[in-house]
Amino acid sequence: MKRLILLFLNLSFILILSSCKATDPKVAENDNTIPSDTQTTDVIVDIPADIEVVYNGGMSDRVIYEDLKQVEDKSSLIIKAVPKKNLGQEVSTTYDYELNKDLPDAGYTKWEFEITKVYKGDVDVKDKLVLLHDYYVWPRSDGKKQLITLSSLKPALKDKEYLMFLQYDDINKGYWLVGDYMGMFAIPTDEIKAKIKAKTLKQPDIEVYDYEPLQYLIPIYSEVAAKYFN
Amino acid sequence: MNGKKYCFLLLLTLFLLLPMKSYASAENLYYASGNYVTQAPINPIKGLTFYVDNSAITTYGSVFTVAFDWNGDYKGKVSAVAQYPASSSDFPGYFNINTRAFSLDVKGQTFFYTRWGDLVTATNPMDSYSIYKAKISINSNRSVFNIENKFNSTYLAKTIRHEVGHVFLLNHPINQYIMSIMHQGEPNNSTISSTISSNDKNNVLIKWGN
Repeated sequence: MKRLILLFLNLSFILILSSCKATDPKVAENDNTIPSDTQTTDVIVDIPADIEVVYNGGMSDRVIYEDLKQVEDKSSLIIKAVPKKNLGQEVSTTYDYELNKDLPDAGYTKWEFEITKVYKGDVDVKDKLVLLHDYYVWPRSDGKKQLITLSSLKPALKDKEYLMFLQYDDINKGYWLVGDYMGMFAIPTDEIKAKIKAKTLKQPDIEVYDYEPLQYLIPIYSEVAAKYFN
Repeated sequence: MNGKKYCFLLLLTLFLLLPMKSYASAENLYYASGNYVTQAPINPIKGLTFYVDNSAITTYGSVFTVAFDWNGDYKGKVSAVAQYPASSSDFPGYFNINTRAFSLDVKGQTFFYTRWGDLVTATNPMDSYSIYKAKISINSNRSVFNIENKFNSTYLAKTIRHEVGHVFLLNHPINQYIMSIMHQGEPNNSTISSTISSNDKNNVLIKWGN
């Protein structure tokens, strides 16, 4: 009798196992959901100097601030800080059924910054924070790497000091710049300061891509320089 | 005033006004110079078709049919908006609309791809002749559409229409004084339109034909 019960249990177990198929992600995708995922790169992503830049900023709908006060009002944190460590990047992709491959879209690179001066916000000098910087590096189909940027702002350089206007993102656990080219400014060189004084400063003088006219850049930069860089 | 003087003054006035008028018209044109490659199965003339994925429907509902608002008495058009729970694999080639994590000032973003699935490289990708397909991503954080701390569906609809405008290869207008949905930012009652303006439709008409 015991043998019969054991045999019955074994057969039932085998039947249950055989009815469970391993889930192939592509099969699951066909089940009315589009595969959409985030690919995380934990290693430091160095940007080669000659990298091809894909500027995607001209096809967005984002907030445009008209003066410094608007930028300041939107910021929960106004600080000077130095990027110390690249924490890797997160890139969202969607599987394309026509091209049969993952196509990248949104993404950002995480940088750890060390605070050097505080103007607004409940933080201290030497505190560290994570900036979600809206650019990433992605290989083209021929393997060549591209810098994909969703902003007119050039990527921050390690160990260089910046003035930053930031907002905290509870969902993604990091700070974003409050605006495209209005959230981060490198400490100006003497040459830049002279151009500000002479009112000859132009868009290419500032660390932004010169791909589309940035209407409020120079006026806001001049206000920033007068208030924070004097 | 004799006839000759009158004719002279009339001609002079026309001579002075014509360049001003053409200048004003040029200022109101903001379509990009690029185009979809001939092999592209979808383009504005054939009719733009979109697939709204699970992430977008779950976050924002079925508001994405506002893409049809671009249709008018001209060739460029939106011809289909398929939505989850319909299966994306049933609509291969349709331009995907999804939601993504973006900076909190970003409401939406359009991406353009080549035949090989690479992001289009150009000073302005909409000036490229290598466009094969497009994708629209809306910020997954609903609070970015808040106005006075309350979710504003008009702002969301404006952003969707704005991004579809990019798929028609319309730029942001340089002239900040004209009414257009292609201006960035929160809609106001003057220049930043929440609906598609006559200027916007005129740009689609000139870009894609009558």
